[in-house]
Amino acid sequence: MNREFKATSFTKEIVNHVINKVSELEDFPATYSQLEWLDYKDIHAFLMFKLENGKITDLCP
Amino acid sequence: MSLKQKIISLVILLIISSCNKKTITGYSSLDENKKGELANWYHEMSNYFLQPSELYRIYKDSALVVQPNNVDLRQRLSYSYKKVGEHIKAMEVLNKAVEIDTANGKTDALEYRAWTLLYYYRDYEGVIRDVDLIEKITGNSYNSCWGEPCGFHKGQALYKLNDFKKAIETFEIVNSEEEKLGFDTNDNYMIFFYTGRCYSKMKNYKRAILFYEKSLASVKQFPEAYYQLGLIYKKLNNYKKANENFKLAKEYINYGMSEPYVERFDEVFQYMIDNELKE
Repeated sequence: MNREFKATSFTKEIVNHVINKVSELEDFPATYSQLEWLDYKDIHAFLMFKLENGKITDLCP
Repeated sequence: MSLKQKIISLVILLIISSCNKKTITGYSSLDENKKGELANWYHEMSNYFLQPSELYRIYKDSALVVQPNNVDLRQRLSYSYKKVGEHIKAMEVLNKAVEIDTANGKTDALEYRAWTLLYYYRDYEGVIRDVDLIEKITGNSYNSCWGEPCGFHKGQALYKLNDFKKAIETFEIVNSEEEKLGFDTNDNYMIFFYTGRCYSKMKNYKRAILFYEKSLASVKQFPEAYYQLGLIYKKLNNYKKANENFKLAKEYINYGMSEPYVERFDEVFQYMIDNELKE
């Protein structure tokens, strides 16, 4: 998303770079319920990258 | 036609005619009280489901169909989208809540948005804009944003934008307003800490040390303050004092700024202290 919180697009290189970095994280909590009988998705933990001119300038939260 | 057949036919006719007479009452014809009751019923039904679930959102949506201007429900719906990672939708819903609320001269949704822009989306310009608008609408220079002074949020946003002088001024306003309200501002250890951070960035180490120590006078178990003091003494080539503070940061590491809902700026982690102690 952009600074107005609207959908936007990024270059393939940036997307691949961010995905590769995130996939290296070992202790990121699972998003799906760990209980077999409880089917739901909950992202209490998320990582967001703030990009300016193609460079990561901040991490959220 | 037998009598039995006639009776059955009559009953069927009666049923059909009574059905036709029934008028369907839509929610739009309800008065405001009834609409409120119906929206509240949907709202309460949604609470039987987990906040990030689709059913939770469906019931909240139903409540909003009945009461589209209900800011509280709209804001709560945004939490659900946020918790499933649909941030664009979450902000769309929240922005609408803010739009309705501020049009009515209220700032509740705006206060929540300022908090969320700072701690979740790191939109510092957005925080300053929202806090300024809150002050304009309420006519007060001291307001509360989701449990913390709005000025504290604005000050942190200014600090992150490297506008240190304005950040310090903003923190000072929070303290002076709280003094007027009868609060003991010596307890504002977070404000002292971030004021210290501003002075550190401005390389005014003397003032920075003063403010870190003020925060420690309020909360002794504050590893971030010891860590920052350690960094300053290291810069000043006072390695003995630097080491003392890094050791204290390590001792109190379990009392750090880690919180379940938000990520504070300048939180210190074990590895950071260990790296300093290794040197």
